[in-house]
Amino acid sequence: MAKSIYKSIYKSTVPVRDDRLNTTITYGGTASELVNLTTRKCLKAKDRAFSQTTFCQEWLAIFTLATIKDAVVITHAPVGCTSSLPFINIFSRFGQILRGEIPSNVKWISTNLAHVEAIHGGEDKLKEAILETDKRHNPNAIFVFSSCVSGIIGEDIDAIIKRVQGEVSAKVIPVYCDGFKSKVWASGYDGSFQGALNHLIKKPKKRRNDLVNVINPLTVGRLDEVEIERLLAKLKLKANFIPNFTTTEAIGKSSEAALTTSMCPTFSEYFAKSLEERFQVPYTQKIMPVGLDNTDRWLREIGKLLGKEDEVETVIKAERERVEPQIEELKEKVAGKRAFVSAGQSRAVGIPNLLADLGMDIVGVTAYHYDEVIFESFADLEKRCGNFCINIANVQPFEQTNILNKEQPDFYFGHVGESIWAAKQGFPTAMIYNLSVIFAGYNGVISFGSRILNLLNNPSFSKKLAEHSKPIYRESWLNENPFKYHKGEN
Amino acid sequence: MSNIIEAPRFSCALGGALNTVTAIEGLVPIIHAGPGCGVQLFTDRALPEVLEGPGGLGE
Repeated sequence: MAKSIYKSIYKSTVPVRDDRLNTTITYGGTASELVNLTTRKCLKAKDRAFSQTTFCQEWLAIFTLATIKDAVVITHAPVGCTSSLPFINIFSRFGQILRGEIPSNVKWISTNLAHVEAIHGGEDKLKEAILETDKRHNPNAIFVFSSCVSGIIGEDIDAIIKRVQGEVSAKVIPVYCDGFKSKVWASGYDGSFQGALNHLIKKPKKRRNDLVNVINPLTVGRLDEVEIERLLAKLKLKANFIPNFTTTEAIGKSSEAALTTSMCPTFSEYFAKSLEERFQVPYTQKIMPVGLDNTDRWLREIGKLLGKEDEVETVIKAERERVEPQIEELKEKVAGKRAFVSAGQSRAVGIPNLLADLGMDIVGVTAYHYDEVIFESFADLEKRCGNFCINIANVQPFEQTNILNKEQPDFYFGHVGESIWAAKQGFPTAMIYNLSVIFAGYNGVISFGSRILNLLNNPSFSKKLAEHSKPIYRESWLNENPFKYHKGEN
Repeated sequence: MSNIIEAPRFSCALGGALNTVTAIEGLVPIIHAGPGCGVQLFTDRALPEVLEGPGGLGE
């Protein structure tokens, strides 16, 4: 039998998701066609003849580990590859404030590779960076992130770390996230978690029956965590939120937990599976607990794995009784409104479910990528919401603008960078990564529902913005097939 | 040899070039680079720097 990749403890690298999960980033059509192709296993990986700029693995890898309190980030890269860190730092500071902490900056160091190192190798600079980091910050862990440049010149980061490890007190951990290796940026999560799994997580000395690992990306806010904590507490369970705003010690203890679950299965996919294979921690990560039905299912999965089925049913019944009258009120106002959602694949299933709870019609969904992580939940969504337009795109605003122009939704829900495109077209928008709104659990439906009500009551920001904005694309493109630049056939 | 840098809050030459080009209305840059250079540099200059030079492209 082939060795499972989740057990590849001696390797620092993980195969990219394109190869491991057959992730696709290019599809345009209807949801039922996509489900049909998936069920018949006929979905082929396609590409774009024209693509707008997008994220790389390194961005997401740093995003995964930057907020760990006792660790420092070193990017073995040209200085431009740390450009995202001032932004991630803002996320981190907001997160600390929401957790009642005094905000402090993310600590990051760039080896600042230049053309000389691209020719002669950057070993000396990486060594210097590790020694300096240890001296200046005395952290428990130092994460060394690779980049396109260090990948192309074939820098052996593992060997360099081995040579310098004896001279520093921090654990130095390589994270392989060479950007050019994959257009599926979620592969960067795997590189980060592989580093944590290989170097931070130890064999458990004991099992803690009350501890549940909840693997959340930085885009899941503190308010969502509070809701998850509240629901787990009703089942007498304690949440161990990793990897953000935590310590290397808490990550190390994740092998002692009774269960691993996640707010974002796309984020936790590799980590949860690896924890099970290496340390026998069972996991459930079928769906995102967003929307009533999904939260029910999420709780039931946890109940099933921990033998708490009866308690779960009691919680579901009580929670539903509590929130349903309020949801009915919201429903009266927003039901029948047409919504378009753009998000990462797990949220692209979660948020439409939440909107469907409020009686809204889903006219279109953009998912940043599509693979086995959501096959099942996406098919369920298609059954529930009917045949909507689906675009699998690693952020391609030109396709989205075209689709929005054709679908003319009442509301648009997307990421901060994309929402502005829709707003300039005049569609009222709400950001679905808003850290001041709850999305998770039962309270999430009410919290986000109220946000939608604001949009309904006063959509004038987008309307005015559209009146004063020049059209972004020519009329000729808006009349074209939005998927004109997809290469390959299904 | 250039030095290592702690907490740099600037970017590379490509970042500067993109910043200039996108600030001019009607110009569209074609980035001949790795898959993530565009967003990496966009998140630097556009988001923390309060949409400095986002231009007419709707970024």
